[in-house]
Amino acid sequence: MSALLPFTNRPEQPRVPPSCQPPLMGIWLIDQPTEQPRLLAPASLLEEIDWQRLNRDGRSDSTLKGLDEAYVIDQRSKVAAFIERNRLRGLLLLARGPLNAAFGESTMKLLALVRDHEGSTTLYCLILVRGDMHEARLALRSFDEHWWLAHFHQASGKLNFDFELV
Amino acid sequence: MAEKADKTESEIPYSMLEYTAVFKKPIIEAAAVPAVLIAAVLKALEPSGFKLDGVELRTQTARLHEYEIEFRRSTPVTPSRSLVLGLTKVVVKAENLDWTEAEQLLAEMGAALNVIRQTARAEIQSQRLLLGMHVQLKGKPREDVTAPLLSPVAFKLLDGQVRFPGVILLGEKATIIIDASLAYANGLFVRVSREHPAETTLAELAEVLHKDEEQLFDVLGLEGTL
Repeated sequence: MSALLPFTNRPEQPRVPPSCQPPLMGIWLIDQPTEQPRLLAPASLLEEIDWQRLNRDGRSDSTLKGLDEAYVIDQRSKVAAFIERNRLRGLLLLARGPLNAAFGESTMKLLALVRDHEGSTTLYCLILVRGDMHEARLALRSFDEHWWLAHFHQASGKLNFDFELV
Repeated sequence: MAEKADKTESEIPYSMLEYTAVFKKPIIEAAAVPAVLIAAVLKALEPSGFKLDGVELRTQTARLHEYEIEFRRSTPVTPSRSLVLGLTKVVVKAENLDWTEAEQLLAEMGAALNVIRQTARAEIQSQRLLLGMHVQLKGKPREDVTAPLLSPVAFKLLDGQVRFPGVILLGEKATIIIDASLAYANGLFVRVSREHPAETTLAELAEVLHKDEEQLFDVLGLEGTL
C-alpha cells in the first residue's frame, strides 16, 4: 500500500452523522459548511463514502492480490496465469521490500512476460529507473546482493529482475 | 505519428458504473404489494441473467426510505450487475463494463426502467451517471501525467516534493476527480459524475460519458481500451 495519502481518502477527518450533515456538493467538501442550495438525502452521503472506498478497494483476483498495489502488470490475465502456474506470488510479495529499499518506493516496477528466442518464457520485473546507468546498476547490484541471490533458486528460472532507464 | 508516440499506454483494471434515477414522488403504493413489481422487473431482466435467487427484499426497516428491492445478476455472477429499487430512486450498478457491452446494458436496463415506470407509476425527476475507475499507467509515472494539469503556482502550496498532484473540477452539473489509486501501483483513480434532466435518454447519457472518457484520455495523453 502506498504511503501516499490521496485527497479523497482522509480518515483523519471527523465525520458528522448524516442527519446533521451540511449540504454536500463534492466528496472533498464533506466537512465544509457550504451555501449550496441543493439538499441531498442523507443516503447520498453514504453513497459518496462508498465511492471513496472504491479507490481503496479495487478488485484483484486471488493471484494478484497484494501484487497490484506494488507492481504495474502488463497483460494481466497472462501474467496472473504464469504467476499461479509457477507459484511466484509469494516470492514477488517478498521482493517488494528489498526492491523499494534498493530503487525507492515510488519507482515503477513493471511485471511483463518475455519470451526468448528458444521459446522459453520468463516473468521479468522491470524497474523503470530515472537517472543514470551507473546509479541503476548500483541499485540492482544492491538488490541482488541483499536479497535476490538468496532467493533466486525459488524461482526455478521463471522470474528475473532488471532495470530500464526512462 | 509523433502524437501517437507520446501517448502513455494504460489499462483499466477495475471500474464501476452507477446510474441513479430519482423519482418525482416516492412509489409507496407500488411497494405495498412488492410481488407485482418484483415479477415485472425480474421478467424484464431475466434475459440478461437475473434470476429469483438474486433478488433480495429489504423491508425489515423502521425507515421507509431504506426499503429496497435488489436484483443482482446470477449468471454470470462476475462482473457484477445490479438494480436496486427504493421508494425514491432506482440505482443500477455495473462492474468492469467496457463499451462493447454498452448497447446490451442499455437495452436491458432500459427495459427494466420502463417496467418500473409502468408498474410503479414512477416518474423520473433527475438522472445521474457516475463512473469510478482505476487507470493503470505502464510507461510513465502517474505524477508525470497529472503534473502538467497544474499551474506551477499550485505546487507552492506545499513545501518539499509533491508526490502526486491530483485534480478536482466542479462543473454546474458535472464533477471530475483525478486522484492517486490506492489499489493499483502507478494507477490513477478517476471519478466522473454528471447529472442529467429526466428527459435525457439512456443512450444519450452513455454517449456523453463516452465523450468524457475520450476527453480524459486525450487530455492526459493516455491510450488504451475504454
